[in-house]
Amino acid sequence: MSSSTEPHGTPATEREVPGLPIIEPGRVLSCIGAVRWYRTSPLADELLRLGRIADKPILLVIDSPGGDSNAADALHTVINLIQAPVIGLVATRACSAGCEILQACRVRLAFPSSALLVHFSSITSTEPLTQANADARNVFSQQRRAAQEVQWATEVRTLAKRTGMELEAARQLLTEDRILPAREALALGLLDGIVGGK
Amino acid sequence: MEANTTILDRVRAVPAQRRVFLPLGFSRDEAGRCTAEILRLSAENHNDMLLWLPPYGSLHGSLALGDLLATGGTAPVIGLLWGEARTATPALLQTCAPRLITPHATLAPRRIDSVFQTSASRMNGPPGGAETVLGELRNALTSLKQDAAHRVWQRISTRIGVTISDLMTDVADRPAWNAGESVRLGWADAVLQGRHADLDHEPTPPTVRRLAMDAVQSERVVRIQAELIADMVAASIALLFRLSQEGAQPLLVLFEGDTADFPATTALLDHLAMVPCTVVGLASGTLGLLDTAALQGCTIRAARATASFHLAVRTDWTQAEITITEEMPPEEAERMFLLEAGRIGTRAVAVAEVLASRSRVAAEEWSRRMKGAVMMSAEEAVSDGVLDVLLD
Repeated sequence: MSSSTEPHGTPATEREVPGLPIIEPGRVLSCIGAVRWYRTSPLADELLRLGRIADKPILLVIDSPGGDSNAADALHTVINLIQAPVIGLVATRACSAGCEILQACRVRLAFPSSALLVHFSSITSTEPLTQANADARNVFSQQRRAAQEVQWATEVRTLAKRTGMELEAARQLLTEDRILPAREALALGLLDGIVGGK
Repeated sequence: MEANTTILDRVRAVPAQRRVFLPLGFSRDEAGRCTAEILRLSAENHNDMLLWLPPYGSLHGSLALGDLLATGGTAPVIGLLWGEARTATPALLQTCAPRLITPHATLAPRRIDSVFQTSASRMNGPPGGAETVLGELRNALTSLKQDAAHRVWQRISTRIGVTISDLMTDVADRPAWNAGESVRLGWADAVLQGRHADLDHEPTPPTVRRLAMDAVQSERVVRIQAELIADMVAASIALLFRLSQEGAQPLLVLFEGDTADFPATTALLDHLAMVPCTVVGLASGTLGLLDTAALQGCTIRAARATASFHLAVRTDWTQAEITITEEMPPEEAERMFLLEAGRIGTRAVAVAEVLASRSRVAAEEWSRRMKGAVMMSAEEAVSDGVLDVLLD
């Protein structure tokens, strides 16, 4: 299993983990720490490289407090496009953008002590960069609110589809913005299994 | 002048091994290696070569390479200039035949002299007795630079058939001119307009997904990362060309976020359209205005259903390049302001036209949305025609 001191995207030393499928040496990757481009970008390259070998699973160890949702989205795209199945394993936490990466995985696992967090994304990165005057800024704020609603609706649909929840339940969960213990996350359909520990 | 389609076909036909890439900001050594490569390729046969010219690089390297090309003793060298071209690269283009320019490239020859002056003034020496020697060296360097600058202007003047003093008058009036104007003014022979590969069927989510997965499987993926800078776009374009030469199977271009470098991103757009095979562009996250424009260069424009498009003009690509100082006379300051406003306005209009080119929305409406920094959902992007298909 990968340790938190290893560089991201670098295959960790492989060993068999009880309760986990046997993963081939060199096919264990880690996403540990805040989700940032400098971490996810080499990880995406490594996934693309390993993903060309079909039918051999890749284990992705996730321990993240969240981060850049664009970076998570880009990684989500890559995980979806490669033929090799990616098994996500939450070690400690998969919050926000970290949970988005987990939801992209074919199989979503966690340790009993792990926790997840899902919530609505926010559009915050672009407003300070606009050169608009006050009127245009107001227009921008209105448009952003409208766009945020559209984006949130998309997120509700995506979560409902992935977990099998009703749309209203998915919206409620995203609004609550609270930490979910592994057992609850499993019950809600955000995990496929819990490994180790009784 | 050859018809544009003929030139595009001629460019596409140049094999990968005869494409010579001068890296962005190339050094004198890199220009030297390029010179040697052109000589080696000329010795092999007299078929076309393509010289890919970045917006800027070593002055003396450019002059030396230009000296070789100006002899006419090499195999034909097609010159292709991209980006916001300055210093010596527009002069180097003058030694190629034909002289091509990408649709969103601009020529900014006005900056030639200022760059040389800055370069010479950087030579600051240590205190003490060495100062005199360094002063002499500085003077010698300045003299060399001035001589080189004169040779740059001489080369342009000879090829265009305009006296140096008239050239100086032309460039004093405007900071830059676009690709079409460059051709009209005689600085280039043609704008190399791309043409998308034909699709034999309407793209649907399953077919596009299959194309994308096949491209991943066959290592035909180019990732356009967020906060793209010119160095990265140069590498991406080189990769695009290499992959398009290696086979006719579709390519996948992943657009991963918001970029800000106007010359680099529009150069990417121009080059995407030149690739002869099917290019699947797949967007995720929140794309900025320039990425949304660059996506229009792909044969199939796809996005994940969760993607969004923020049509905001960012300060990064409207940052003033002309400094207006307090000492400047008011009429000169106003002239400079108008020049700068014109440059930014030209960029905004160019992006609006790109968005309108394949969509159901007119350029004026795109301009209006840009002023309001509108955010578009992926569904809206499909219904407005800047996207072809959504993937889950």
